[in-house]
Amino acid sequence: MSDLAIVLRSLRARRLSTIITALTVAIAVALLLVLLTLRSAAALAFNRGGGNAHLLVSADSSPLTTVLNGLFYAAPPQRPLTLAKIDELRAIFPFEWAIATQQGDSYRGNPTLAIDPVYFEKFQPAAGEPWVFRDGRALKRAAKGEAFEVVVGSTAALNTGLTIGDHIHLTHGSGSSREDHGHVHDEYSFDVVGVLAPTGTAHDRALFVDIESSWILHAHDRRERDGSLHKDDEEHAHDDHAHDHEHEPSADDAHDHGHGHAHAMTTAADLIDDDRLVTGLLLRLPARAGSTTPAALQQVHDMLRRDTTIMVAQPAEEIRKLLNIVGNIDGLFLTMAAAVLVSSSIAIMLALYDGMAARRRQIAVLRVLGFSRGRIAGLVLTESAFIGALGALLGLAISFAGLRFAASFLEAKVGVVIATGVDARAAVLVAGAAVALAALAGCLPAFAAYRTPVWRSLRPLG
Amino acid sequence: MPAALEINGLRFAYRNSAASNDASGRFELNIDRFELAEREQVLFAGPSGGGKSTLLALVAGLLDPVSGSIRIGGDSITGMRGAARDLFRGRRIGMIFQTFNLLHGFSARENVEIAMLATGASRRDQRSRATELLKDLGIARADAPIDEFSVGQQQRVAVARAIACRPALVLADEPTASLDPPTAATAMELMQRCCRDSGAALLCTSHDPEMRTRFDRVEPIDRFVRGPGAPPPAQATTAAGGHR
Repeated sequence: MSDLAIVLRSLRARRLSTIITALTVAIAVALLLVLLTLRSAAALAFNRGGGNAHLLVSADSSPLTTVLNGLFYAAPPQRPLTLAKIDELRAIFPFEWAIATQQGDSYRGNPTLAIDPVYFEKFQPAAGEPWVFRDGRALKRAAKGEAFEVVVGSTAALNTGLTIGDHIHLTHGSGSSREDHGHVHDEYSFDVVGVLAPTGTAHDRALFVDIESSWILHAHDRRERDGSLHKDDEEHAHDDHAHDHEHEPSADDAHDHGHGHAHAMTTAADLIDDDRLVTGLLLRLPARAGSTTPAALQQVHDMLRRDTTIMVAQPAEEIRKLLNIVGNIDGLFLTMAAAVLVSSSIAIMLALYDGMAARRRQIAVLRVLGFSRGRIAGLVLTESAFIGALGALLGLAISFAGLRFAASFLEAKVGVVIATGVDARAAVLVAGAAVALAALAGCLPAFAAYRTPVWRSLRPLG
Repeated sequence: MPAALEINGLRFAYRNSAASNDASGRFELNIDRFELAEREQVLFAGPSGGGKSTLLALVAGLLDPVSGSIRIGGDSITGMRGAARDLFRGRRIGMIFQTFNLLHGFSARENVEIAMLATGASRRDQRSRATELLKDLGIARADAPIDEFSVGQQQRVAVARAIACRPALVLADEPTASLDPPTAATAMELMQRCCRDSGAALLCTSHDPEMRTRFDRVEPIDRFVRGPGAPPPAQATTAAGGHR
């Protein structure tokens, strides 16, 4: 027999009360842990997701929207920039690199980013961390007659089950399935040539295609709409297929369309300026070795801002502002969760205090047997702290599940990829606080136990 | 050898108490001198509310006298305070109650072990002593919850708990009041034998006149009660019918 055995036996005797009070602590601990971990994980994910571009240009309505859409795939940008505008911007400063991007298509709910193939050489998803291919290789521009290529992010590969050699069709818009949303670009299939290793950024859930192939898809739609495609088709039909198609379809296209005859297809040669639309321009300025912020960054930023037809954003700066805004809100949530923890401690106090009347005889017997007042009070405090510790452990388990849910929600809705592990420091801090608060809550019942009148409590009942 | 219990100049008073023994509500217990030798057994007899339990509480150090001293095995319990007094009580005094006051939710063995836990005995010592005592007292299912035992068995567990720490003195407060006469007789026999075997003196209180025959020494409690209107004190008797 030991003091701890007495404590455990006492908790077991009040099983229901113990479980309920521990659960209230667990919920508070889980809330706090999820919020604290999300805060640090989201901050980390946002900071990582900025990549190594110094500036990002779009035609969106605000710098923050530009960053959220362009780097975190929150939503496809609504207004495009023309290639002429992009060429104009490229010329205003000797950038280290400038990469045009286009968004708007998707595959099974995973966003597609159309890029220049140099993207994988120049752009880094997190600063200082180049792309790593888990399987396959980067994109190369398809020559006439060759199939289009796609590289799949790690989460997208997990979500879709895509592997090297698969053929896919992109969906226009951000539809989550072929059936429910958006027009499917059935005319062109893409071969999976690479699967990326996880980067811990929103890019993990994206698919990457050559921007020229994306232009061709949409040019094809335009040509279908304005009738120029069918006109070509008819011309080909009249020629009885006697000569080579002006825009020879790829072998893959012919396969896709096996309707008994080959449709006219669109190629790069059919592109007009209006087809070459861009939704973002990633810019990196030359910087001295060892410096992360180029001296000319602010100057170039200010220069670009004067152009009212574009929106320019410094990703790092916008992320910092976003975290400040979010910080105020999650501070409120943290306060509420802390209030729940305090409430749960009060519940422990009430449960123990209410139980004191029924335990008066037990306490008196222990006193008669030689337990001091302090030791009795210690037993009650240990009980209280034990409920706190039990709640903290349960809360930790609940927070693991909560974080998994929150991570998948954030990834789907905001495009932020966060780690699902509970922050160890937060776990120690919150669990410690829960136990300390529970012990504090035990002070009043412990005092009542301390003051229990021994002889009066031992009198026979009735 | 020091006496198992030695009381000198003890004064204790309740004011406006149900246990009062005069019209003003005042109750006084005065013991100029009382001694209980090692292994000696004494019965404090008297009606309910006569001060017997108060005397036991004073001897156990659960109430503080106005003045005077109480020594157990030569050590003054009235001179001790707080945790030291509690520890001393656990080590040197065993207690048996009318309703046993066993701890529910614990087994018979654990009820005995807890008495030794309070005094710092190791787990191994607790276990071996509790097992030995319960076996001697005929408790076969030592690990069964105490609520599953009969009243007679619970009484035996209470006796085992009282003598577990090999005390100098066992205090028994109306130990047979809840038992039917045959069971009470068996229980008293067991209690007295156990105290003798373990070397403890026994101070028993009872309002039951039948109990007087079981003790060599009987002290009427009213002998020690003082106050306006209190009945004239009776004389202590020995087995031979003499006065002490």
